[in-house]
Amino acid sequence: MPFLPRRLNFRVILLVSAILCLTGAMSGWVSAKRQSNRLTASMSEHASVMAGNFAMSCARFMVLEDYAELESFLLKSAELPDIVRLQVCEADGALIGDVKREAGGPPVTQLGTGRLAVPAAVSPAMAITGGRLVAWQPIVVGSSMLGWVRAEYGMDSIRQARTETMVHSLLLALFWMACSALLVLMVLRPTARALHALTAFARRLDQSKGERIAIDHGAWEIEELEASLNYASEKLWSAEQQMLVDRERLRESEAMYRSLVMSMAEGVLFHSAGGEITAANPAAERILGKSAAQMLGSAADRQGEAVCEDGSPFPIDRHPALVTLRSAEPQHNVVMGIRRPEGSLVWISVNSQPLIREGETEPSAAVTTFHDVTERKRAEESLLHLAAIVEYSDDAIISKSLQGDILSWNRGAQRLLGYREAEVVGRSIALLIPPQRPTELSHIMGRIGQGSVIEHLETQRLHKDGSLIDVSLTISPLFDASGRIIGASTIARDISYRKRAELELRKANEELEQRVSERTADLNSRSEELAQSRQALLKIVDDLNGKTAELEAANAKLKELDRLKSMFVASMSHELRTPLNSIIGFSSVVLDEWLGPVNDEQKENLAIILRSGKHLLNLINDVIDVSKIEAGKIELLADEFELSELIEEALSLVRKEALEKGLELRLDAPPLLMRTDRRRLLQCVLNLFSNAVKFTERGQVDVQVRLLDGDDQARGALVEIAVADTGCGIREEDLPRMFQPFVRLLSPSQATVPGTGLGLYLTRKLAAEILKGELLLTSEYGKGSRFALRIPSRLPS
Amino acid sequence: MKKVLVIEDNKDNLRLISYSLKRAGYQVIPAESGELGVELALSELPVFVVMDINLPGIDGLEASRRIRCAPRGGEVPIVAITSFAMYGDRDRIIEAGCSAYFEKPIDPLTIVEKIHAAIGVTAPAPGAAERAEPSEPRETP
Repeated sequence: MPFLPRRLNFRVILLVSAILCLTGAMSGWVSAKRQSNRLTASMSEHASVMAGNFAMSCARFMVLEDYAELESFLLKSAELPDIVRLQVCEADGALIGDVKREAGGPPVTQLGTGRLAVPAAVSPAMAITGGRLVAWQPIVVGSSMLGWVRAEYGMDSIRQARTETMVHSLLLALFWMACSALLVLMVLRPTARALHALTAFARRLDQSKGERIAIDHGAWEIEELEASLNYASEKLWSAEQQMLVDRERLRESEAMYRSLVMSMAEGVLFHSAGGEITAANPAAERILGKSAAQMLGSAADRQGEAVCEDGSPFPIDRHPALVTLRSAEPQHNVVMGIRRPEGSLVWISVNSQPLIREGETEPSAAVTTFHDVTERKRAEESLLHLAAIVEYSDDAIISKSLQGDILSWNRGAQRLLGYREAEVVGRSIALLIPPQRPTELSHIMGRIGQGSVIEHLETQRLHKDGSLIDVSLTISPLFDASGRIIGASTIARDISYRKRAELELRKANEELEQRVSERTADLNSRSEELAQSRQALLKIVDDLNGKTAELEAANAKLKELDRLKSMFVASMSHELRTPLNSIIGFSSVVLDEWLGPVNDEQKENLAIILRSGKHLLNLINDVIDVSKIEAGKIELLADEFELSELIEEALSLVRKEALEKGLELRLDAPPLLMRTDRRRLLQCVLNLFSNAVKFTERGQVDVQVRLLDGDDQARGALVEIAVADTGCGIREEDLPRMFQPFVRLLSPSQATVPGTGLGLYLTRKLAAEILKGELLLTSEYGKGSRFALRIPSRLPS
Repeated sequence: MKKVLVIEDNKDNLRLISYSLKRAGYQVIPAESGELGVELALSELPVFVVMDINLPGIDGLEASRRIRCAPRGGEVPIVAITSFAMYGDRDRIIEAGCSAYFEKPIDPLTIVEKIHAAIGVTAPAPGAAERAEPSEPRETP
C-alpha cells in the first residue's frame, strides 16, 4: 500500500496505534451510552416521585380552590433542578396553572388559557419527546378525578455527562496510544537495528570481494546468518574470479586459434548445420579465388562448380562438409576440382571434421580444411606420364643407386635382359656385367659420381640365360631435390641386330670387292672400245651445235618479228582510232540532226559512213584481241554472275536484226550461277549469236544451255551453250577452215555479209585460252549449223 | 553555267566532245596542252576535266598527277579519253589519278551520260543548252 510508510517499525507502530485508537473510541462510546441510560432511568424515577408529590399538593389546592396558592406552589416547585415547565389542568384538560423556566432564568407564570391533550387512562405516564422528559400525574382525591399535573424535565445534564464520558475515554485512548507506540518502539528496536546492521553488512559484503566481514551484533541468529552469508560471498567471489580467469583464457585461446586459422596455409571453411559457409580464412579465399564475403552464406558447394578427378561434375551430396554434417563422421583427403570465378580450375584435397556439442549427437557445424593440390596433381600426372613412357619404352630403362643397387626396372629391361622386375630390384647391377669386363662398372660409377653423362657406350650385358647381348648405353646421373647425385639411370638399347647387320655388311663388302676386282679387268678392255665410239660421237655433237646456233638465230629473228608485229598492231590501232573517232563521231552528230535538219538521202549516206566506221572499229578491236591473245596478254578476270542474264544481254543486242529478218529467237536457259570471265564469255556468245543471225535468212535461232556430265571438282560442272541456226550451213570440206583467221566463205545467196573474218578465230581462241573450254561445230550444208561452247562453270580467279 | 575543262590537242576531237558537252548544258573550256590544262583546272574550278592522254609536252598522265597534287585540285574528277587500248593502259591511267576512262572512238550521243554515271555527277538542268550561250555571265556570283 503506497500510503504506508516504508520502514518496518513505523508500520508496526501505525498498526498498533490504529488498533488502540479504535478500541479506545469504542469503549468510550459504550460507557457513555451506559452512563446516559442510567442517568435517564434515575431521572424518570425521580420525576415520577416528584409528580406524585406535586399531585398531592395540587389536590389540596384544587379542593380548596385556592389557585393563587397553586400558582406560588408551582413557581416554587419549578425551581427544582431539571424542571423546565410545570402545568396543571382540569380533568378535561383545561389549563389551571402553567410555569416555565428558561435556561438560567427564574420560573415564570405563563398567562392565558388553553387545553392540554391529556392521556386517556387515569394513571401516571412518562414519555420522552423532543429531548425532554414529560411526566403526567393524575390528581385524585378519594375516588374523584380532579385533574392532571404535567411536569417537563430538561435532559441537558444527561447529555453533558455523556459528552464528558466520551472525552475522557478518548483522552485515555490517546494516552494508551502514546504508551503503546513507545512500547512498540522499544520492543522493535533491537530487531530493526539487527535488520539495519544486516543491510549494511550485505552492502559491504557486495564490495568485500570475498573477504570475511564481521557484523557487530550479538544475536545468535544474526551471527549464523553472517557466517553463512560470508561463506556464500566467498564462494561467489572465487567463482567469479575463476570465471574471469576462464574468460580471459578463453579469449586468449580464441585469439590464438583465430590467428592460427587466419595464418594457416590450408584453406579453412566453417559450415553451419545447414551446410552454409559461415566463415572462411584468407587461405580459403586465396585458393578458391573468392572473397570471404562472396562465400559466406552460400551453400557448401554449388552444383556445377566442382568436378571430380575424372572431370565429371562433383555430386553435391558427396561434398565432404555435407557428408560430415549428415553422418557426423570426419572425411579425409577428398580431391575435387573447383572452378574459380575467373575460370581456372583449382584442385583441392579436402578434410572435414564435425563439431558436436556436448550431450548432442548431431553435428552443429562442420569445419573443412583443404589445400591446393593442383601442382601436385599436375606433377603426379606428368610423373604418371613419364612413368608410362618409361614403362612402355622399347629400350631398357634401369635406375640404380650410387652403390649399384637396382632401383627400378621397366618392361624393356625385362625384354632385353630376361629378368622380371621383382627378381632384380634391390640386387646389384654387377649381376648384368659380363665377367670379361670387370672394370667397367667402377669406371661408369666413377664418371657418374662426377656428374657426367655417358652417351652411346657400346658394350655387352649378360642375359638371364647367360648369353651376351650387344647394347648401347646412355647413363646419366640422378639428382635429388638439393642437386646431390643419388644414383644413375641407364637406358640400354639392343644393338645386337645392328651388330649382326654390320658383320654381314662387312662380309658382303669383302665379297663385293672380290667381284669388283674381277670385273675391273673386264671393263678395262671394254673402255678402249668406248673411247673410240666417243670420239665419233663428239664429232656429231659438234655438227649439232652448229645447227643449234643457226636455229637460235632464226628463233631470235622470229621473236623480233613477232615483237614488231605487236608494236605495229598497237600503233596501227592507236593511229586508226583518232580518224575513226572523227568519222563515227561527226557522222553521228550530223545524222542525229544536232546541227540542223538532214534530208533522207543524206541520212542514208551518213548511216553508211557510220556503219563503215563501226565496222572498221570492230576490225581493229578484233585484231587487237587476237594480238593480245597470241602475245598471252589477256588475263582471266573471274566474276560471279548469272549465265541466263548474260545470254539475255547478248540476245538483246541481236534481237533487232533478227526481228528485221523475221527470224525467231528461241532460248532455253535454266538459271545457273557461273564464275568465269564475264566480259570474254559475253564476247564469245555475242559473236556466235550475231553469226547465227547474220547467216540465217529464214527460220529460227535456237539457244540452248545445259549442264554436261563430267563434274570437275576444281572447275565445276561443264556448261554447254549451243547456238543452232537454220541458215545456209557449211560444206564438210570447209569445216576445218572455219576457225582460221581471215577465212570468209561465200554464202549461198552470194550476198555481201559484213564481217571481219576474225570472229570465229577469236571466239575459239578466247574459249580455249581464257575460258578453258572448247568451241565445237557441227553443220549440215543447206540446213544449218550448230556451234557449241563448252566451258567449266567455275574458274578460280 | 557549269564549266568543263577539255584538255585535248586534236582540234577535231575537241570539236566533237564540245558538241556533246554543250548539248548537255556545260560551258567548255579548251586547253591544248597539258601545262595549260593543269593551270586552268586549278583556276577555273570545272565540274570535271576531260583529259586526252597523248599530248605534246607533258602527257595526260603527268597532267593528271599534277592536278591531283595541287592543294586545290585534289578532288576534281578527271575523265580520260584515249586511243591507247593495249593491255595495262587502264591501270596506268587510274594510277595517275584519273577517275574514269573511255576509249576512243567515243559515241557523241551517249558520252556525257556515261561520264556522269562514271563520276557520279548529275546533269545540269535539262534544256540548259538552248539558253546557255547568251546567259553565260549571269550564273557567276
